[in-house]
Amino acid sequence: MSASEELRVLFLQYEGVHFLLDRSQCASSLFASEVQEVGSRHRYLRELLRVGDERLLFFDLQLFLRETFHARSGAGAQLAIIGELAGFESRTRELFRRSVFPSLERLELDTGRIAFRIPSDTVMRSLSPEDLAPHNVSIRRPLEARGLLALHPTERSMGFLLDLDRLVGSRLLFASARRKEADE
Amino acid sequence: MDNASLLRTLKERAARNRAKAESEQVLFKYVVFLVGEQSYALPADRVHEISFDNELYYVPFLPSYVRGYANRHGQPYTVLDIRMLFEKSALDSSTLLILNVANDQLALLITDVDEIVKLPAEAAHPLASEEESARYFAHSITVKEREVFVINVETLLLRLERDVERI
Repeated sequence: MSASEELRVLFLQYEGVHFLLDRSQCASSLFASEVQEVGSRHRYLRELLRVGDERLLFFDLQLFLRETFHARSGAGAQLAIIGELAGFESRTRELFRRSVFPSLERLELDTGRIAFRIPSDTVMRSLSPEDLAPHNVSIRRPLEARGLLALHPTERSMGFLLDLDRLVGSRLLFASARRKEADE
Repeated sequence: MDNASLLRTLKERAARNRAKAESEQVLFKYVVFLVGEQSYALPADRVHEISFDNELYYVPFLPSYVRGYANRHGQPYTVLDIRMLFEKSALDSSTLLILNVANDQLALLITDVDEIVKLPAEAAHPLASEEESARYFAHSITVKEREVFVINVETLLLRLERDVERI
């Protein structure tokens, strides 16, 4: 198999479940040391990440995955990955341009990039497309629409290939903190 | 041969013919299984495999009776919990009935397989109940003097399709 047919992914391992993030959606990664908490009504969006002179919206992907998939992990989440909005679909870009950034104008954010908190033990891997399986027909539509693109079944774990663009575009990461607490 | 002997011979032949016809009648095979304490059945041709000790992987955003995925030799199977669907109570089990369904990979979460029976068509009884849950059953069968409901897989699939459509 040629290198071009391989899929480079970030591999996020939890107990019995793992997640794959397409490397091409992650412009860079860094240690999340300069983080600023902000008052927020969103469960998974309570922080900003300082990168150089810029401040980026910092989504807590670790908390989202733990709560949504009932996933457990002993690892901390001191890593951040950065996504370039220019590489996302127009629907997602418009969501930020028209709705998200104007409402947060006072924070003087970098409007070209967003960041995601991920587990500290995340590693890079290469996969063959044959390692992945599509979702079953009867349940595929709502999963793909929310960014759960495909499966990566292994002997001891089930993997989900996540599309950060669709995940953010579906607004799941903008869930209200109050509603989430009520669910619990 | 006198008339009495002739009549006896004819009756014996008729009895033999009846016995032969009965032995040749078409029998339908069912897999009878337990979901908790409740027995259900499926026509055997709808069951591909019985699988034990499966790990279930939770999948979000789906109806509560979709208990997640099971990984069978690298193939994901969607696991349906009919106890959750019928009684709103999750079944604690790792045994699956892998279904024969065209174009999809589905399994029912069950407690155990009870038995496999062969029954004549007369053993199948239409259902008169107008209860909501009755539409998930094709008919009932009598097994060891018990009435066992036969799951209608098509209705189950339609329910899943309808619920997923609404998500």
